[in-house]
Parts: sequence; structure tokens; C-alpha cells
Amino acid sequence: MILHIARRLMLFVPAWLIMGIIAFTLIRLIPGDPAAILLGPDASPDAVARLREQLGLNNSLITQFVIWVGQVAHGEFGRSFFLGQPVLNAVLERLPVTVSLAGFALACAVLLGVPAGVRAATRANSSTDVGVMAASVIGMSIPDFAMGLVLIYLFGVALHWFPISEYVPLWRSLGGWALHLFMPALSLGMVQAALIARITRSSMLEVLGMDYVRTARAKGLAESRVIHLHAFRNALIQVLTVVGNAAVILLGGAFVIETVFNLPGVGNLVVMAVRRRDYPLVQGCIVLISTIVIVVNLIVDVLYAYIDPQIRYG
Amino acid sequence: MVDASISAKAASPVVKATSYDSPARVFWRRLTRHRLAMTGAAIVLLVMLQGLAAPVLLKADPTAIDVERILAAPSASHWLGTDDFGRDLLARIVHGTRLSLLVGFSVLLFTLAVGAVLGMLAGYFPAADAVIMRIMDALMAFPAILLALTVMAVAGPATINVVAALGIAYSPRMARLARAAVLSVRVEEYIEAAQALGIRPMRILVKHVVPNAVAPIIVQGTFTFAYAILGEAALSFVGLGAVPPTPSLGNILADARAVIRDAPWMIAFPSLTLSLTILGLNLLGDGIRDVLDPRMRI
Repeated sequence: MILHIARRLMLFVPAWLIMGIIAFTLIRLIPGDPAAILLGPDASPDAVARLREQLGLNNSLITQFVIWVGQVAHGEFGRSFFLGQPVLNAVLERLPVTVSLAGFALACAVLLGVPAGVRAATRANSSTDVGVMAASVIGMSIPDFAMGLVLIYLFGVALHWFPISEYVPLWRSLGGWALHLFMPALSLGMVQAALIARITRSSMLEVLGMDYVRTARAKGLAESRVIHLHAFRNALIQVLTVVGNAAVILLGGAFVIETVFNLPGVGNLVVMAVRRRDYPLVQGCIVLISTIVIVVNLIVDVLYAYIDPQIRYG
Repeated sequence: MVDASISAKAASPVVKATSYDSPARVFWRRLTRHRLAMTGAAIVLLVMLQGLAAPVLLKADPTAIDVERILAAPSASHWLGTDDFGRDLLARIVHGTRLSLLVGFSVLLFTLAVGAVLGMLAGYFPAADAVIMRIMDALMAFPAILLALTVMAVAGPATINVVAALGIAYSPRMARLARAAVLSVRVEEYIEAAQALGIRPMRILVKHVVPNAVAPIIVQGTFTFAYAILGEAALSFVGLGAVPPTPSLGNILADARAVIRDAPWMIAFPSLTLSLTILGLNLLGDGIRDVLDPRMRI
């Protein structure tokens, strides 16, 4: 098992390195002088030159990269131009919001998608099945931010069921946190719920046609036991793949929903950083987010091996 | 794939093989009998017609500001109402849809020219495989939309940059798919026969492998089109896509967000247009997948 984890870890090293190089070079390719942008149009050339020196922008690209990698290895991502705050702090400060949102959305997606898919599969071709699959294809077609705006209007503005005011952190109020995250999480999770329902249904259908399911039924097991113990466990592998992908997509897609609901998360930070050409902040965000994404991928891989011994020993 | 029973009935009728039919004809006949695919195709066609006919049919200028009619509700003169600058919402949505389609097509071409070609090369030439797929896998480990955002960070907001950003973001998926398709065709006997005949590898790839590996690429292409439209809208929504006052479904919704209390029509109509377009493409893509390759059905 440890060997398996180590092997997977090695596979992710190039992914991380390439993201690092992209993060570094892409940002340097941006037209315009960040020092001049930072100081505004009225700045004297002297002041711009001084700031360039201070920010290390005068060194060669390779020197800048080496310095940068060394700093990153020490958790030093530089200071954000605009926030005047270390990048690491800025990201860590906002990370709980994004993680809450993605986690909540994933929970919505799994809790809606898996039971719907199982139910549709066990009643294949019934009206339930057709209904679930129709809902799924429609759910997959509504963009998360459009869904978010519609939810804000319906349940926030018109019905006043959910607050659309400022975000409340978990440690201040559990109820407030959940209330504020419900609509964003639902709109973010909907597409993934639809996808999970589809995959769950098709892999359940496949498993339900297997000989061992027939054997389980033949020896007189209750249908619910057959479905949950024999069929679902075996359909789980494929479902887990989609859930793992969903986790990554939700983390990445959070920035649009954070903008819709004005949540102070990492996604909002990235958008702001890009719009203001805040080089260190953009770089730091990319490296930190890709690290998180890679860790999530790794966790999914390990869960995989845990559930399916064929992968572990394969 | 949407509903296995419906699609199975629609997709696999017993084809009467009285005379030889070309695969393209068989495909076309099956597709036109696939009800859901045809529904999707009808929606997509409608959206495209609307996008193409827009400048001819619609006199209203999507960027003409009218301070007298700010946030007017839908009426006879402005069918879908006006926005916060008094601009006609119908005109903006129609022109926004044009932009969506343009970006969708361009991104599709990009992913075919870059992703599919690299994937096929990787699939057929083991020497190229390691390098190409290592890079593609690294890019795949990252959510596509964030990758697009990163590219936008460098390029700055502009429609052409959106195409490049989304093209780069969706190419790795296309590459992986094309590679898998080529790998499965490569081991077929007719390829071995071609190799035994001493045909040059590049010619085998183009003449014999590609035509037999094209099915999954067509399916993925339909979905790439949909993703690209979604991606453009998302980037424009956060202000990193189309530059205002150019209308895009994304930036109309961004404007709408600010006036959500006063102008729900500004949210309803663009959302509906966007969702319908994606729905049409999803149905069509599922249908093509059912028809082209029943094994690929999920």
C-alpha cells in the first residue's frame, strides 16, 4: 500500500513541476511593466526603476525562476502587490471558504446523484428512471453561475428564504455558515450531481446483470441487501472516479460561483489577482491550488486502491 | 446514453442490408432516427440560425445606449426588456449567442488541430507518446477552467485570447481520447497488414488509422463545443473574457447580477439561452455517441 502511494506520488511530481513552470513563465509573459502598473500613471521613471529593483524584476528570467523555486520550497510566495500581504497568508485566509464551498457542493452532488442513480438503475425503464435521466441531462446543461443567479433571485430576493448578505465563517455560526453556503453549494454541485447520477445508474445496471447478483438473489437474499451489499459495492469504483473528478472540478470551478455569491474565497482572490496583474499573487494561487488539486487526486487514487485490491496489487 | 432503452431502440434498428451502404450513410440514417439526438440537433440548429440571421433580422444595435429606457421590462418595443444602460436585451442576447457560437467553433478547431493531432501522434508513435502525454497528463491534473483563467491572466481579456485559453484548456482531454482511439485501432490486423506491405508510417496513420479512430473524436468534439461555450460565458462573467460593451452571454449575466432586484429578465433570458444551447449540444453528443459506438455508452 505504501509502495503504491509512493509510486502515485512520483507520478504527480512532473504534473506539479509543469504547473510550476507554467505559473512562472506565463505570468512573466504578460505585457506591461508591473512596477509601472503598480505605481500608477503619475509615477516618475525613478520610482518605477526603484520598485523594479525591489521586486527583483531586473534579473534574468532564469535567475528569477531559480530564486522563485527556492522561495516556494520554503513556503515563501512573495508579497501581493495590491494586498501588501504575504501571498501565502492571503491564500490561507481564504482557503476555508473555498474548501467549505467545494466540500458542501460535493456533498450535495453525492447525496443527490448517488441515490438517484441507484434508484433509476433498480427501476430501469420505469417512469422514475426516465424522470431521473431527464433531470440529469437538464441538470448538466444549466451552467452553475446561471443556476446561482436564478437561485439568488428566487430564494434570496423574491422569497427571502436564504440570506444573500455577507458570508459567515463556520467558527462564528454553524447555522449562518450553512445557510450562506446552501445556495452556492447547490448551484455548484448540480452539474456534478447530474453526472454522478448518470454514471451511478449505468455502472449499477452493468453490475445488476452480473452472475453474482443473480446468485445472491437465487439464494433468497432480500432485494435491498442484494442492491446495497452486492451490487452497489461493486459499482462503487466507477462512481468514485467521477466523485474524485468532481472534487477537483468543484475546487477549480469555485471561482465563478464565489463571484456570483460574493464569497471571499480563493477563487475570488484569483480573479482579482488576474484582473489587477498581481504577479506574485497569481503565481502563488496557481501553485497552491495545483498542489491542493494534486493532493486530492492522490487521495482519490489511494481510496481507489483501498476499495479495489486489483489496483493495489496490479 | 440518456435513457438506454429509448436510445437503444432508436439507435439499433435492424438495418436491412439489401445493398451496400457506406458507413456514413448508415450513421446518418441511424442518427436521424434517434429522437433525442434529433431534438438536440433541432435546438442547436435553431440557435445557429438565430446567430447567423441576427444582423439581418434585428435592427436594434446591441450597444446603443438609451438613458430614457434603463431597465425597462419586456414590452412590444423591447421584447426581452432593456439592461442597465437601456440597451435592447434581445439584441444583446442574439449577438452574445453569435459570440458563443464563434468561440465554440474556434475552440473546437483548436482542440482538433492541437489536441487531436498530438494525441494521434502519441498513440501511433511510441517515441512521441512519453513526451506528449506526460505534458498532457500534467495539464489534465489541473481543472480546465482554471488553466484557461491562467492563460487569460497572461493574454488579457479579448475574444481571441479566450479562444486560445479554452483551446489550451480542452486540448489535453481531446489528446487523451484521440490517443486511446488510435491505440485501439493500431493493433487491428489491417494495420499490421499495411505495415507488412511496407507503407510509410505517416501514411498508415492518416489513411488507415485516423478514419477508424474518428468516432470518439466526433463525440468529444460535440462536448468540447458545449464546454467552450460554457467556458467563454464563465470567463466573461468574471470579467476576463469578452470586453464590454461587446455583448456575451457571460457579461450580460454579470451586468444582471448588479441589478438582480430590479431586472430579473436580465437573468432569465440569457440563462435560458445558454442552458438551451448546452442542452441541445448534450443531447446531440449523446445521440452521436449512441449511434457511432454503442460500446462507448455510459
